[in-house]
Amino acid sequence: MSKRYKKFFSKPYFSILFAIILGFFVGGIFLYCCNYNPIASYGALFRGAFSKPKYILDVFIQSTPIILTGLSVAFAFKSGLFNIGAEGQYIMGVVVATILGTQIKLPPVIHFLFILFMAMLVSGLWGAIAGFLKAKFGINEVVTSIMLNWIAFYFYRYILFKPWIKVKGLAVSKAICESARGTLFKTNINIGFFVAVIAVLVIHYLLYKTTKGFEFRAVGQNPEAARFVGINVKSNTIISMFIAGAIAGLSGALRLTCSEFRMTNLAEFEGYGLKGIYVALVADCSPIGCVFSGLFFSAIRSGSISMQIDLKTPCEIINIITGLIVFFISISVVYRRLIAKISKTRQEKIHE
Amino acid sequence: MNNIILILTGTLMHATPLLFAALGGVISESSGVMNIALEGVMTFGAFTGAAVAYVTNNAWLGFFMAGLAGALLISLHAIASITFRADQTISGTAINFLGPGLSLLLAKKMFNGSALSPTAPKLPILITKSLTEKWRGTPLENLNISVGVVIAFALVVLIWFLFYRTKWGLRILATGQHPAAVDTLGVNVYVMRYICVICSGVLAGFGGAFMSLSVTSSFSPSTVCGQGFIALAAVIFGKWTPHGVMFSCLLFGFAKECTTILGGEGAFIPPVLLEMFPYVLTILVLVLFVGKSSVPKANGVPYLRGAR
Amino acid sequence: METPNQDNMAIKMVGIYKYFGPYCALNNVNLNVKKGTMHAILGENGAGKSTLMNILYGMSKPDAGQIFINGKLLDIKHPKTAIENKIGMVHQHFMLVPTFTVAQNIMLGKELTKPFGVLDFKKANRVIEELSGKYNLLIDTKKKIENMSVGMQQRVEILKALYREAEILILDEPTAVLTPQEVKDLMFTLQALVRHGKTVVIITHKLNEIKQVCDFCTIIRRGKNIDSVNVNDYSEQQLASMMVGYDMDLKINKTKATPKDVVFEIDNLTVLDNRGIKKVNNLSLKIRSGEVLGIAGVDDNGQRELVEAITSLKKVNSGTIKINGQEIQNTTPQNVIASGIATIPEDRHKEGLVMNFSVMENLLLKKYKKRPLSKYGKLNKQEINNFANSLIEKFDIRPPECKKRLVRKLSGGNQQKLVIAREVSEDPDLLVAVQPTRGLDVGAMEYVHKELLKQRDLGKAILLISLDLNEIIDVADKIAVIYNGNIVKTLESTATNENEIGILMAGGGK
Repeated sequence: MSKRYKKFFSKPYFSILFAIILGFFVGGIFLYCCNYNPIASYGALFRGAFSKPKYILDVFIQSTPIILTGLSVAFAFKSGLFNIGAEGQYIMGVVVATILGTQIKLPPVIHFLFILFMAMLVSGLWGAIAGFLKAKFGINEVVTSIMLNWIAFYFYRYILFKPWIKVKGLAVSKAICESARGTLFKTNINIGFFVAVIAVLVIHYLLYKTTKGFEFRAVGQNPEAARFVGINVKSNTIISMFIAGAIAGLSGALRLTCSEFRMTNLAEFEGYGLKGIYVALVADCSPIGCVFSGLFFSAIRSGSISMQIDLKTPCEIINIITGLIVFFISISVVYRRLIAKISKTRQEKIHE
Repeated sequence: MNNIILILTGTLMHATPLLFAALGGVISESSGVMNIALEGVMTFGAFTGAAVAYVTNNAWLGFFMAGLAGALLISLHAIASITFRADQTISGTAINFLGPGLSLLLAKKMFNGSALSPTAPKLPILITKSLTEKWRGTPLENLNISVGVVIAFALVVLIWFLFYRTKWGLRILATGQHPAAVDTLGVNVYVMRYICVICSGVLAGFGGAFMSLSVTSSFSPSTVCGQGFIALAAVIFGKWTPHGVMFSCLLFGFAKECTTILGGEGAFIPPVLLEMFPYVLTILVLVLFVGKSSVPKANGVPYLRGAR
Repeated sequence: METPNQDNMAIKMVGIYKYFGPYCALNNVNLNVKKGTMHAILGENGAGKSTLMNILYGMSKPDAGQIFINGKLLDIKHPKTAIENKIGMVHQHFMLVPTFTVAQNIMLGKELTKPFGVLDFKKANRVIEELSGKYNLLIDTKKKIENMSVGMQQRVEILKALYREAEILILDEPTAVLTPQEVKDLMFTLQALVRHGKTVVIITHKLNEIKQVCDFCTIIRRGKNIDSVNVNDYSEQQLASMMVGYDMDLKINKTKATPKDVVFEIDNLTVLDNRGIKKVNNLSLKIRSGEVLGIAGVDDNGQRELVEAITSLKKVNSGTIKINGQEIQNTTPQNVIASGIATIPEDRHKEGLVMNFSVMENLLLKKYKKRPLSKYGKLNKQEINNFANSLIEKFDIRPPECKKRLVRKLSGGNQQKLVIAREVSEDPDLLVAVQPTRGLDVGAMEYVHKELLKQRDLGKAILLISLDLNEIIDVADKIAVIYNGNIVKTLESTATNENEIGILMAGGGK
């Protein structure tokens, strides 16, 4: 029993669970200090996410984009890259989907699939720019990705205000045609979530069952050693960033074709790419874990809105809790060490 | 002539918040702690600056409290990355979530549910009224430079002197290059790094406060809007030196100013594309000018005594 | 053995224990060092010598035990305390900031300043020059460390300690990277220091050095005291047996090589480094199948660049590299491997292994694309399992059930076995071994040497690059001495000696 015990506590998901609990706990202290009732607030949060089937459905729908950006970041992490550029790649996906959804005519399913394909291609190339700059010039992908995010952002606005796509008098684009949409039975139920799950499974297979995935992981863990055994680190870096970009682009395209249908005027980033970072971290960078952590964050996000309405607790507390969770994950090695110590002293006692 | 003065003031205005934050980045990274958290700290500084200045009606108090707030926030990053040897990108990212989250929550709490602060007093400008009167009619009357600008550029000189002429600078640079060497000579690496990271928080806080107390005169969620990340690029482009960072910030400031000037009415380039310009420039500059040699060797690597 | 006078002890360490997790690195170790003597601490790699000295210098905390310096009980928590008590240490990996000058490095932490902490370089230069004059350690105070030879860097390290008025000087493996001539200079310097009344402690596993200069010797094996002896009373052979715990042959039995055709040839090779300096300069060499060519030389004389050029990790500026008549310079690492070259890299942690991969995955690193281990890009789990099991068994990687274990949890010796298993299983025509026994204990070292000779006898060509001259002389059939990126001479290993090679290594061949 004690061995099973130890195994459970030393798993990465334990320290992540612990970080989540700590995040909510410290966030609660913070709420209390700001004169909000933390217990009532968290209760409202939970009810807002799960109390009605409609809410639960909403959690699933809203989880699609962050599962995919999370997958994008997680995949890049596994390949040794920090894809903070998922935001920009997501935006490029949205732009491509809007242009193709409004400007061309194709039969229903084909139109939809064509959009997804093109969005993945363009966003993949967008991501590959950062990979290329890293491989060729050794420039940190974090910095270039951040710049690319802003360029994508302004590109989005540039396209939005083009007369051929904009609705006159409003700062929104035309809606994409019916044939391009991924909704089912003319409701807001859509296939986005299923596409996301398929993408997760594909990436899982790629990483763990194929030679290419083996290369990605080897480069991610130790590029120096990968170079020595004859793996082309540079081309792998570019390909990894392409794939990461394509996944983030898929996220944007699905968001647009399944629930938004048109581009709106953005004052700042929507933040799906950045959310991908914590989705990936909470998933411990496991592709399959991204589904669950995406659902988790989607749940607290949609819960937080009813929390704000019911109790006037500002929904920004969610950002703080998320920041805290990421912080506690970053120092998770501390509690792993702590647990190792506890289990060691316990073992010593048994031996005595 | 008039235009040159205008461009100059504009450039300085845009460069200064970047310069504050980038100098912070230089100090922190020279000691070996990567600082991706500048953005979050700047946002928190911008909020604190505006809020304190509004409540006390004293811009200077706001400015300095922003520095203090920045120091408090970044100390989380310091604890995680120095004591707990966390992945510095991840703990920095955590700060980038926490900074805006805290700012917005507190803003809503303070300003009755609005994320926007009311107008706060501005930092004084360098040229006094009487002087402006004297220069009326000459191009110099538009010389509208905030005292904050002067502080930022004075800091460049100060930090340069600190780095290259004093014993503390010697220790900071050595800590970033070879922490074990510093440790074996009886200087505490952890203390050095804590001091440097906290200083960087103060400076990034100042940078944010300059945004909300000088460039604009209130806080809104989009006040900082990615400038922390540009400051990060400025650190790299400036090759981790205070003077290099000054020039790169001036360049970015100038690029930003160009978008304001060239983006006016009847411009032949769409203003949105002009706004992209600083970011494209940053990438180009990184591609063209960055060698790998000047990176502090231990940047981003946690130090553990006795580990090889 | 004499019982030293209590009052005359510079260092007295009593009952020192140190654990790393469950592993006991030091088990009740005692050390007594008499003032004004030269004292050796002898032990294998991993015996605990460096740990003991790190504790003395405050770099590491003992779990139990007491330390007396000059009879005074001290709690040395930090190097600062050690420095205050006039202890100086020269670490195996030098603690110098490469981008700083000599003066900056020496001053760091104890700066000479004008008011407001402003550095006073004039005064510093004067003080250092006085010091270097006093101990005859001449140095250019304005030169940057990165432009200095290893021997000079070590001199800076010694000056650093003397600048802090050290009375006790600890040197961790000081001769590992020096030429025999530099070793002589160092020993001369150390003897001079002892004459000045200083106490010197040397950590080493080289017996001849101990015999030459040391007065006393404490032997440590697997974290335990074995004995403390007067060096003059014991032979090298006796000291060696105490170090490893059994009677050992200092020489390995090597059968005569039967070289055949030339399989590997380098002609007039020149390689520049990033700064445009010629690191490999017009170098030529030949290796026949069934022989070991050893490259002897001081660190940083082009060995690294030579290996990188062979493995196509670095661009060749001129000259050719041929294997089986086929030119392979400036191709890709993949092509180099495909043409029959395998490499045991210098740093197994950084270059040889993926520490967070399992043993199985590490074994797979070079073979994952080959059938039947994978087909159409899909890995075959069953075949990979069989492949890993057979290599683990054949090369005796321990523990035997380690297939799924992370490599970082293996011992150094088993990690190196894994690298060798992976590289040898490629069945290469040329095996390049760079410092293959670095940091290994004697048992593992023996294994590696035997394996290299076995591969030689199987008809492979072997290029052995090592900084350890003894290893080269023991294992290689031919010895090529490298100096400044050029082979200055090639010798038969049976027809030369350490001294001749040493002179050549130091550039004395011209």
